[in-house]
Amino acid sequence: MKRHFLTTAAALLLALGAVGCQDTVNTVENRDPAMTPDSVDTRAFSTDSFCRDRLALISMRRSTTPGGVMMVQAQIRSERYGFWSELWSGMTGTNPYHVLYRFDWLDGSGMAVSTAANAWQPLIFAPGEVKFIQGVAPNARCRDFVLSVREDPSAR
Amino acid sequence: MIKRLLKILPSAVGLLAALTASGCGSSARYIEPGGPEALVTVSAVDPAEWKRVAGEAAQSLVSSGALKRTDGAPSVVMIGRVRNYTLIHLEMGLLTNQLRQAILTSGQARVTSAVGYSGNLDRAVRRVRNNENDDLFNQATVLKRGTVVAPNFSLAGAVIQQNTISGRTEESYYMFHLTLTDLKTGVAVWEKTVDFAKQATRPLL
Repeated sequence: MKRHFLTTAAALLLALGAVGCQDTVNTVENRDPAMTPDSVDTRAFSTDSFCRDRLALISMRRSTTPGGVMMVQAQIRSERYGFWSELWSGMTGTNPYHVLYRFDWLDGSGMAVSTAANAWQPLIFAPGEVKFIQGVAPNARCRDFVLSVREDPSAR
Repeated sequence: MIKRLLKILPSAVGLLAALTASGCGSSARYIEPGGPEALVTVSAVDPAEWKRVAGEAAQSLVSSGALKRTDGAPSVVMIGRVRNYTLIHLEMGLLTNQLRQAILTSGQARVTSAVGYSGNLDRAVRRVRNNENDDLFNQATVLKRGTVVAPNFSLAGAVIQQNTISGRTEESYYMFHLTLTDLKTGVAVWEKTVDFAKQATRPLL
């Protein structure tokens, strides 16, 4: 009985220790933003439920750059905070969370435009961290985009 | 009998190990350049990083509007030298070729091959004009001098590396810095820094 209690206590201590080692990100922002963003109505197709649950798309905005090309910005937050998430990511060595993202650009006819920038780019999230990822259209003829996000298998 | 078995045991174990090791290899296959399966090393700039640097620099250049001229005519860019201040050999064509393509795709500028550094210079532009007195050629077809468009901008830069070792952990920091200079005024009209760091820990044994 005593031995069972000790084992449980040790496991709990270990779990608490693992969680205690996590460095989460805390954010603060002005309550009444002065910005007037042009938000993009998004439609997501998710095939990886883990990635979907671990990252939250907070906003997707668009603007036109001084070069006359479309720029989009995705605001993404890592949802891997809290006891169980942090315990699991600590045990599996996936903290911080490594993902890859890529922007593909489509012209007015829906044809993909090849660009140097449409390669997978790495992104590292600490638990609770908010990141802004930006994509710039390769030319002014581009009208639409597809943002792809996946877990980075090389970082596991 | 046992003695004989003991005699051949090391050879058998060696053979088995060799067979196992040879079975661990894999045949050649295609991977996506710079994709998730590509190798990541500390001691070199890997394909994913070349793509990242080229991509970020191209996005910044195209979005800045620095290439646009007030008269509406497309600018002409020469690709200058990207200096390598690292301890390793870097094939800068892996960067400059992607930037050339990005500038052309943007429609904001064209890239000249008449002047430039290393692989960005096509000597044929000058050589074909050296045939103007060669009776081998129909002189009406020989390109005349004074037709080549001079560049408005020069794109150049540098790569810097810093290595740090602490115990068994090795870290490499690379910084790419690119500058677009207005050749008329000599003033830099666009600059971009792309940096990244990689870390690896050697095994204990």
